[in-house]
Amino acid sequence: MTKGTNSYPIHTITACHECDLLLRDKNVIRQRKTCCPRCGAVLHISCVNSMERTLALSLTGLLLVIPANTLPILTLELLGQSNTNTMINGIYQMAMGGYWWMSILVCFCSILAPTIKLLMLSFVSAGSLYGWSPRGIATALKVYQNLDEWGMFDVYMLGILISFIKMKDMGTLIPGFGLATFVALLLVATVSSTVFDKGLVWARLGSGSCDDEDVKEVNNV
Amino acid sequence: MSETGPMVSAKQQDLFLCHSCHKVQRNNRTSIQHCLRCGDVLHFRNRDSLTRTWALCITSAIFLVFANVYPIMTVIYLGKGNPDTIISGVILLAKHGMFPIAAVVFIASVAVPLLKLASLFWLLCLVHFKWKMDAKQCTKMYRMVTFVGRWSMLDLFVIAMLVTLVDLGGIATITGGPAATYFSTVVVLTMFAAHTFDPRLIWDLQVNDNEDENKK
Repeated sequence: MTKGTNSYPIHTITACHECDLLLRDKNVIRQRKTCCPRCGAVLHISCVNSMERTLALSLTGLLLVIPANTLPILTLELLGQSNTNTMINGIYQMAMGGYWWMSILVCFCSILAPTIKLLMLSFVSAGSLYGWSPRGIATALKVYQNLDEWGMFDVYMLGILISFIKMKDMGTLIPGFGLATFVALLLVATVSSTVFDKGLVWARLGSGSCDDEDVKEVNNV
Repeated sequence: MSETGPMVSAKQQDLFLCHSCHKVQRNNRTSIQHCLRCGDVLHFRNRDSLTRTWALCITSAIFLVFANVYPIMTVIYLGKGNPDTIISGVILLAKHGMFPIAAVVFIASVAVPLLKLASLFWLLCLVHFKWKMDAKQCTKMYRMVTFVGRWSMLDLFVIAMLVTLVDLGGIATITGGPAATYFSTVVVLTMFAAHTFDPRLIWDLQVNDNEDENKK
């Protein structure tokens, strides 16, 4: 690594968001994956046809949301009685049992946050493809970034597996059609956020003004 | 890497990096400066990072005690059954020979919250008391904390599912316990704590070290 001796225009430099190292931006968009040379944080991952793929996948995900939430995931049969679990009635049952805070949290992490994430992804990718208002796109993208770690489909999937194994000795467990749609939703949601290139969206939203300044002493990637 | 001397950070050059859209821009010395691209308020580091993270960590440590003392779930099977705490639930699973599940539940609901809080306290002390540590290792630890945090919700999802599945009147019922509320609070607070902690503070310590050496 060398320290740049020349000065560079401010729009060609970037900084690592985890260690604040000042870096030249020349390769950040072109390479597939760029990491910070000092702390190793992933600065940017790009993907071919990112916006088109994200739009297709997030719309697919939105179609799957309602069946995954309302169709039975698991059914337990025991001594002639049976009980069915869907994502919604688990939350309802907990709220009825008096655990408000927990049911709100489970509802938020397993239904609301992932669904809003998919909505925002489809809005941002469609908006960026068809040139909608930059302000709306910026707001939607910020909502998506803030909700990112609160969407927990993957954790919920592991939860289904664990309750399946815990209960399998107790009675007969029948996986329902909701489980199949949930697995599909999990896959689509995960892939859509992997192919989504938010750096590209921000870059397309323009750089604002005041781009004529030069910055000295920049580190090279 | 260090042969070229201290590396320049954006803050040293009086440049802001926008938290939301990662645009670099010059500090124009107004009291509140907004990002040119996305309009967010700009800060060099997360606002009151240390104070907020300390507060959140201490609160969640207190809640974690309650989460482990009170029962989290009651299983009543054919009229028999006792309330289980998190740890007694894990022991019960292991006694029934379900070791892989016991391990997963143990990791997600005992080990992860404890280690997460411990590492956050470690990072806080490191920045607060300016300990000399390898910044790269500490950043790795911070990344682990942020990655692993959400998996603690696992136990709560399992309870939500079991409560509806096993609701068979006199034969078998599963109900939640007060610890579920405490535990979910711990998960939320530690996720917020990981979010308010600013890993750039770790690297700022090195910058200060280098400046001190130059003065000598």
